[in-house]
Amino acid sequence: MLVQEMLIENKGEILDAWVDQVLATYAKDGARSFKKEQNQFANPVGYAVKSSLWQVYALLFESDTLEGLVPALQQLVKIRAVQEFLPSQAVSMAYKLKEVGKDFYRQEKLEDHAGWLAFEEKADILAYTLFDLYMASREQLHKTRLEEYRRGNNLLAEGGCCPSRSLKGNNVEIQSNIL
Amino acid sequence: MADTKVAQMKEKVVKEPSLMTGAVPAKDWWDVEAVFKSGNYCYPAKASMVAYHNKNLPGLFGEPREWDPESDNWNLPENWQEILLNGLKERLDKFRSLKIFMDCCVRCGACADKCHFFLGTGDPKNMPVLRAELLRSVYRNDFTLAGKLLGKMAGARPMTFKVLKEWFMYFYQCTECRRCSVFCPYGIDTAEITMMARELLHLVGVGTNWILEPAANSNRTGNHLGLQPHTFKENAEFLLDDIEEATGVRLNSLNFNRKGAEILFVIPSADVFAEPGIFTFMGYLLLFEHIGLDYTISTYASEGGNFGSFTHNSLMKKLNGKIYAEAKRLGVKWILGGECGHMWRVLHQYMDTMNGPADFLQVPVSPITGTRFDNATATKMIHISEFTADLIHHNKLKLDKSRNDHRIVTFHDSCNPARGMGLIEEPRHILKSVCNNFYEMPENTIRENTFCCGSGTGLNTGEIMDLRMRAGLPRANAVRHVADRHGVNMLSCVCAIDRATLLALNQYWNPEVEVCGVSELLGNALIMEGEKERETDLRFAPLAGMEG
Repeated sequence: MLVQEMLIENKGEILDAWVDQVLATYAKDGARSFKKEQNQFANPVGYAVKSSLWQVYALLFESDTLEGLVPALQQLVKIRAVQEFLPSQAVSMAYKLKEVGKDFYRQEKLEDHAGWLAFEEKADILAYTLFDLYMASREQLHKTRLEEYRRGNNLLAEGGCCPSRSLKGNNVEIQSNIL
Repeated sequence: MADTKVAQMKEKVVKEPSLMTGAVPAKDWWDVEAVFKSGNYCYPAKASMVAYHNKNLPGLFGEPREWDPESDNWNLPENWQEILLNGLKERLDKFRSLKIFMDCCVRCGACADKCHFFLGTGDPKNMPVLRAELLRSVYRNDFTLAGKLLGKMAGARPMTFKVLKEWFMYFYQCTECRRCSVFCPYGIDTAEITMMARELLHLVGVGTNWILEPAANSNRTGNHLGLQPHTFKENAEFLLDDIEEATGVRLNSLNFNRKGAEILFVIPSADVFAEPGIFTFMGYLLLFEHIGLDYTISTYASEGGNFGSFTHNSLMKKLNGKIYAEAKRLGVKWILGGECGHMWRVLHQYMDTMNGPADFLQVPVSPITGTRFDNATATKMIHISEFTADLIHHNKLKLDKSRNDHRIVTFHDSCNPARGMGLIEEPRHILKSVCNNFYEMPENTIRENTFCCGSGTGLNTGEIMDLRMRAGLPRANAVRHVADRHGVNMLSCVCAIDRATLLALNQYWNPEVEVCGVSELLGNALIMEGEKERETDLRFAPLAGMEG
């Protein structure tokens, strides 16, 4: 069997294992709850993990295009970017996919070296995308903090050396443009 | 042959939180220590703030001192355990509810996955049952026979520094929103457990600056920013210019500290100085002018929000007392309250007990419709949404809904008005009367089941922005759903903290969705006598069809 065939035939099992591994990055009781509850509003983290990984899997291994990869990952990465993970933990999903893939490769006793390299390449694309999204989320969080600071501390933010001066729409800049 | 180094590393990651896998140690909950690091705790209160409160309420806020939550030495008083246990005993004797809440939980788990902090973090100590257990375990150890005899086997543990750290960590990861209480078959009010725990923490000087400083300001000048009466008045008057620019009408009815007015109007002070609250304030003023209401605003009771309620019931009572004191001094008949959150929890549930009876006031009667608000017989104070919904119900307002056509609106039930006083239908009645585009979020995220903004009870401070974003995830997730499905671009609410914090929450999770008060949308729709053709709304955004 080729790797690509394995990925299609064992899709459900591989995804279950992948979702489990990602959920295992949460505390045991938390992970149990995230796994059990199916309602997306009663369980935003569990739902995001599951729906995101299923979409990503379909894009990586069942589609001719990777268009849609970013939207599929965005909510999940945003969530993990504000949880108490180290950056490497927050974006560990790609590496977990490799681990799960490796387990199935061994289990099925495959010898498709070229297929494995293609699989790894796709997992790497996922890793790069996750990293970019993680940084974009942290940047967005930083801007959110600065905006809130500016809203509450107009005088300080605009007069001194507050980093919020660099935000768009800074009143000082607006004034100097008018003058 | 297996690589020894990798094998060793794998062994290591099974046992420790790991850089390699992010694995979380599987330990019993009380063996996992609370670790404070930058970003997961609110800054401690300044010594000067503690000293200020101690002057007014001696002994309730601990010794003024500098301390660092990340350090292993919090400079606590030598007998801090004794202070805490005496404090707990005093509260168990005084508050029957606390005693019952300590005893009656059967750990059924109904609350476990209902807390927004748990849903956003997956941290078991954010399950309401376990958060309460942090206090309950100490209660068992020192106040129950089973705990004294059986110790750990009976779920009891002594008060140690490790436990104190857990209290400071997790009772400041509860916004007292009471969602868990809705699901508790015994009606345990976890919010009150958090209130008690925070009182105890303050006794040994463990409090946060974002709560104690606004509380000090409210005590000194009447509002949480410490605005003095003339500044408060000028800020409010400044908004008349904006109203005139947007509507063409110069309002004449805004007044302050006027004796003999029929109604005292109390607002969260953010409504006179911070966006988007100021637009809500403009809505109030337009409404009062529209119906010719005889009201006044006090510059001394200029804060409806009660930061004291996050500290100690004595300070809550003291700050709340200003409202009745001003109502009495000004000789009003009854009190109208603006769109605020925890203000209403305090007003609805504690004000009469703390500072009543308000026998110098009358049961509120709308001077326009004649409706008598018997629900406020005890407090003599009603909510602006009740008042407005009654006016609309009696067709007393001239409205042009199309002026909100540029908004696709949803409504966030603010926790305290929704669960603390049952204000659920009134804001919806208003919204449906002033907007053509209104969509509800999913049923399990609104009304009694509403999810908190994630930043209430004094947690709306910048140093814990990550924490606020994960706590607000369940709310933001539901907003995302209606934004995707219906194109919602405005999240309305009836709470000043919401107006401030949902703004940040949306900026991270749903940047295309803005935040407003219900009265702002009302203000847009009100047809004022002598107005010009309206081209913009109150925040100067072009109306639908006026974009060019």
